[in-house]
Amino acid sequence: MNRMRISPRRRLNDTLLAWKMSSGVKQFIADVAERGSRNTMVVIGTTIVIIMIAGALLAPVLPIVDPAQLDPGFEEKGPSSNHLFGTDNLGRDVFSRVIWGARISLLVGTLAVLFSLLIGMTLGLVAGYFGGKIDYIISGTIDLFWTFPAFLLALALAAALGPSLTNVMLAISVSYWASFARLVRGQALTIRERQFVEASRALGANNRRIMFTHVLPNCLAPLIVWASIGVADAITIESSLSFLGVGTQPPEASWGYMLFRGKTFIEEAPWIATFPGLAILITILGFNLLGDGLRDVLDPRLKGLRR
Amino acid sequence: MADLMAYVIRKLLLAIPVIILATVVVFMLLYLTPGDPVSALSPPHATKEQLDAIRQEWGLLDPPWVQYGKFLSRLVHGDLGTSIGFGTVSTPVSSLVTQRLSNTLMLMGIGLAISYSMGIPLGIIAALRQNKLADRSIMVFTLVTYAMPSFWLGLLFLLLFSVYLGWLPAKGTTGGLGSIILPVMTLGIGNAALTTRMMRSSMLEVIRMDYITQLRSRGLRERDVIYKHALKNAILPVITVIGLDIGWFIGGAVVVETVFSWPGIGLLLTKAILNHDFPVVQGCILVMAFFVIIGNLAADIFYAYVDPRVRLG
Amino acid sequence: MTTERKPILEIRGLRTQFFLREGVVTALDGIDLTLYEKESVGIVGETGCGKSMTAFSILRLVPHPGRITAGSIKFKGIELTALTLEEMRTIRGRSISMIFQDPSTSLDPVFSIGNQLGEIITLHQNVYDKATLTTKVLEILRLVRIAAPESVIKQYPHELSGGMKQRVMIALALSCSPSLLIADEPTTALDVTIQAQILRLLKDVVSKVGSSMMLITHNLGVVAETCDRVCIMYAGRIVEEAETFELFGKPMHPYTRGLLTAFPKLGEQKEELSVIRGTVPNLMNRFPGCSFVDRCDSATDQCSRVRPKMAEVAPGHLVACHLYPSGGEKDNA
Repeated sequence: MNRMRISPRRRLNDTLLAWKMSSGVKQFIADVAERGSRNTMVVIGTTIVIIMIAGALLAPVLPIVDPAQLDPGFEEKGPSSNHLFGTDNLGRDVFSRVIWGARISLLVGTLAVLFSLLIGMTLGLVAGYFGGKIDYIISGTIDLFWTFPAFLLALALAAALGPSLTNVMLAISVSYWASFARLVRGQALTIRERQFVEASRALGANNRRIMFTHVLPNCLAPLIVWASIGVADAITIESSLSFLGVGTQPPEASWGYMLFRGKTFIEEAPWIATFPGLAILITILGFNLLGDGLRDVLDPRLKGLRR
Repeated sequence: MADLMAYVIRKLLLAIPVIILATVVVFMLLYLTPGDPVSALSPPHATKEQLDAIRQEWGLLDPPWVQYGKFLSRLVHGDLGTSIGFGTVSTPVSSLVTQRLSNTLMLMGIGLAISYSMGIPLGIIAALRQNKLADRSIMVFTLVTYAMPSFWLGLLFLLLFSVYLGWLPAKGTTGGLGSIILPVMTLGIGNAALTTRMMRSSMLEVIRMDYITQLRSRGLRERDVIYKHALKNAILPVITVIGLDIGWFIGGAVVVETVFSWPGIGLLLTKAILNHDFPVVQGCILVMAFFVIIGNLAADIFYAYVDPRVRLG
Repeated sequence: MTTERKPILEIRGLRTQFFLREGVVTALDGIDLTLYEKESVGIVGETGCGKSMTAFSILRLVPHPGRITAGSIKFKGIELTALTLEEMRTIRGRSISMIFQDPSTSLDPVFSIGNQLGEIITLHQNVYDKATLTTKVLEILRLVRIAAPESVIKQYPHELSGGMKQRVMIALALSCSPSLLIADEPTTALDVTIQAQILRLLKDVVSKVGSSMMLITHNLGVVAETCDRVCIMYAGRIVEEAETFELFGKPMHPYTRGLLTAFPKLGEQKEELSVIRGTVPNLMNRFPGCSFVDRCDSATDQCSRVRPKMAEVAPGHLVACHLYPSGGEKDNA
């Protein structure tokens, strides 16, 4: 049978249209995609995020130099046609190190947020839904963690546990969960009072079912926004920790670590630190734009942007 | 005013358990370190006698609550332990901290002042000229500065003003105005973005309120409506976050002091971490945590002073 | 009963429109209204009919993206639409005052009552001496029958009850003895038990100060208590105008009749409440003719083509309806 040549764009449009007609999650995604594509922040943010993630994932197959390979005689040379971003003090190509560094930084950022999200969501759900003493204890804990600066807490934990990739992820997760918990708890509290929950219970649904089918979907929109901003924050914390020397250690060289090493050469070879720094900046900007833009698209009333 | 006093007392009482909790957490940090706790507390290549002495001093062989009790009593007497790294003479941590505390506080104080004196006016301007050029450029500015981690902004300033332009010194307190400018600007601008955005959204909300139209209907001058009434209402949510800002500044101070080699507690902490000097690390974190809590408390009280509705809470 | 009273407010052909992205909403479509000295006029209509917008237009407080696009508003002979905003400002609060609907959102929450009252008195009466100011503030608070005014001036809005707040609003509005007081739904947000008190207070104080009052409401009962004359508004137009008793006794316009029959009367047995069928028309796309045509049981062909003009059917009683031959002119909306 002859397959018509349908451009990928047309295919995408058709899929979105079909999803719009259906209901539930698909319709939600199609709706967001449509409104998001009109919002400049979302577009720029998504582009940056996709480029960064693509770079990170595709690093092994890209036609770039091995980041650990030394180029003797070429140490501390500025950007040139051979080395787009120059070389560091050991003669390694900064450009490829930046691309490989994306893997670490993004990995830490996304996983840390994921763990935070899981911890926060669980505690927030339990607190908001069950109320009473459980809520009192959990909210108290949330407040404590929330008012304490996440960076300081992560620093303390990383300093105690010792610098390593997993420790950094752990430290960030423990410091950041409170934001998500607050969010989910708030939603759970409001939803709990709603009529359809009463109806569900009258029909025999148990607590867990109610929580999952009613409370969670309503949290979805703000959670996406906060998760995106959370990745930006996580990358900020990770790179700051690595910059201080308590973060990721070689061979997993994150961007922050490159700056930790690079700052000693700031006067003779500023490119060693500048390019990873730019990468950090652009990535954080990308996730922030995505989060902010999505917030405007999903619900302009969502406030409370917080570290 | 009486209700304000009651509020202050309530908040003070609430702060005490939080401070105690902080001491417990800091105490437990020792047990998070990999390996035997004693190794974190002793210099490398310590002899068995030295290790035993340290075990004795820190009470590591005692049950946990006794240990904590000893820890707490030492704290109350101002004893934060002894540094295992700095110099050849064992320096008490507390003296290391007190030497540098004022430097950090100065950095934070000026940084806060810069942040608010930039953020609030910018936020007001952005709100009053919503969607016009001024607003859009201010928003872009905040987006970019918010995305920059403090250390990067600091390095950038260092590069620009010290290395390329040679205007300002790069390190330490070589004297007066010159050496403090870059660090405080880094801290100040970094936080100004958030203040600006909050001020802007708060202001936008307030000027749509009924009572603002009411005030106009009473014939009040527009500048009184905006700068006396709207401003006072709009600034309240911004002030609520002063406490959180203080927390951010303390964390930011660690980074900025490291970048600029500013001799404060932050730099002390960083060096101690790299030197595996655990008592100093513990001492610094404790002091910082204490200031975070006190800072939040002060902010809460200030807020209750400004907004009488809060005193009932 | 015709006394030669001077007109305080003369509105002719007032048109206020909102320019939205989706289209132009005509909130007020050619309002004609006259208010005389020392009289109380009620403006009655359902939500969205433009009553509040009339008040805002008079004070030139129409919010963006709205504008007064046609007509004249003469206050004591001065053309308000021609004044600069600075000149308008001198009239607001001093010669014309307004009370808003919801007292809990109409007072600045972070300034004390005394402070807010003092601000107005200082502004309009140039009183700077603290002692004199306090005396005047206390005086006006007593006028609105607030007990213990000395403690109230130190309090903040959130510490007062709804009724107290509304009294403060009235105090604020009357502090400079304005010639015209506009009260926009002054009792709607209050408990039923307080409503009567506040209405009575309003009536007393207004007559004591010697102002005219424009009372805006959707509640006919309120109007019956306090107003000398009533105007019925519908979809941005005035459809009937008469002295209160006359209107209640002999309603002419089908809308007025519908409003009055919708209220069950005391002692009357009814199976069903009577309603006016249909809904308020879209103010964006105005069709020629009478705006009530879709909901009117007596509508004729002429009603959908020609907009009826206000005509006097009895002394002091005007109606805009084709049922009462008036020679309506071709609508140019």
